Amino acid sequence: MELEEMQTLWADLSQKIEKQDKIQKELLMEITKQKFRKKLNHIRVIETIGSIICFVYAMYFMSKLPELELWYNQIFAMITILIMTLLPIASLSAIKGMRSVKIDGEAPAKMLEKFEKSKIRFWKVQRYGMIFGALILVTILPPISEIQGSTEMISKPLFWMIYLPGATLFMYLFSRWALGKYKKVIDSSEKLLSEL
Amino acid sequence: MSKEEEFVQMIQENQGLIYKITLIYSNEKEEQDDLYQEIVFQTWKSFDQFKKASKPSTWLYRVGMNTAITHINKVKRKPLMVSIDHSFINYTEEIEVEKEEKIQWLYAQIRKLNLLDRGIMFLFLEGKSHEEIAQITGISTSNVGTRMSRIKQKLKSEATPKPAKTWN
Repeated sequence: MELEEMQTLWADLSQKIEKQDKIQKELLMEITKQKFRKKLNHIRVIETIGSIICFVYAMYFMSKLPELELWYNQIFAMITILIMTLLPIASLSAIKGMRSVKIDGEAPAKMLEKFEKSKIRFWKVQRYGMIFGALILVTILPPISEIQGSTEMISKPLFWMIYLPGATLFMYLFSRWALGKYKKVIDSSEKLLSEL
Repeated sequence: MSKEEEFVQMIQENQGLIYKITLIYSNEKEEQDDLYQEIVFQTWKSFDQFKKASKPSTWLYRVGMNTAITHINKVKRKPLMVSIDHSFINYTEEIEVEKEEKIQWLYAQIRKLNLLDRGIMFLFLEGKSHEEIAQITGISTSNVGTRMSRIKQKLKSEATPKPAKTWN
């Protein structure tokens, strides 16, 4: 089939489509409102759950910081506070960046590039998030133990001999699972970029 | 006229265009319905931009294509509660069998193209010039020409529509 023939066929199809009944106003507005609610809810869930958990922990450590007497626990607590504050901010900003790619009339070629770049940025933030997450597994425990007055457990080498390999294994398995998920995203991003 | 009325009027006047975008960017009816709703939503969301746009048709083509491109990349979505009246999508029933076969073949060929080429081919079929296609898609006119030549070659290398199989 030649392109000219395709154009004729397309014009014919367009004519048939134009003859259809017009979509009703009520249905149109209902579709729009429902989509709008769905989007808002989605954003709200991500923002609230992620932020609340991390910020509550960070606030808790901040309030308990003066109670810590051991110097290394003070450092650990500060590292934890820093990660728990900065990580959700970075993650949410990456999500926001991905969601805020505007579909408001920008050229598709540029929009597609921006969209894919923000996806890659999101993936990178998640990857760093996993590394810092592993760090938190170590830094969170000693200060908590001191705050609760049970430093005995963490002072035993046996505890660390079990905890460190266990925590590492958990982080490895979790990271492998999460990275597998993200890999799909980045693969499709690269494919799309190469197609441009 | 209120914003809502203006929006409804604009969608009603351009619903054919939106349907055609859904047809070339998705294969299944459910996906097409979902994409249709997404385009309507995105149009509403950035409707103020539309009113400021110097060329509303260019704006609408862009919003439709951009939505389709991002939609196709998203994780599988759950079907929405609102369903579109079936009569909107089943227009092909009125077209003769032979033409229907050719149309289905045409969709299949377009869907084989990458996302941007799909849009370029769609705009070409809509009768847009290379300059207009370049303006809408954001690539240069010479790039449109190059891509169109590649698309032509690709489509030529594909077999022409085969007649439907008969089962005895």
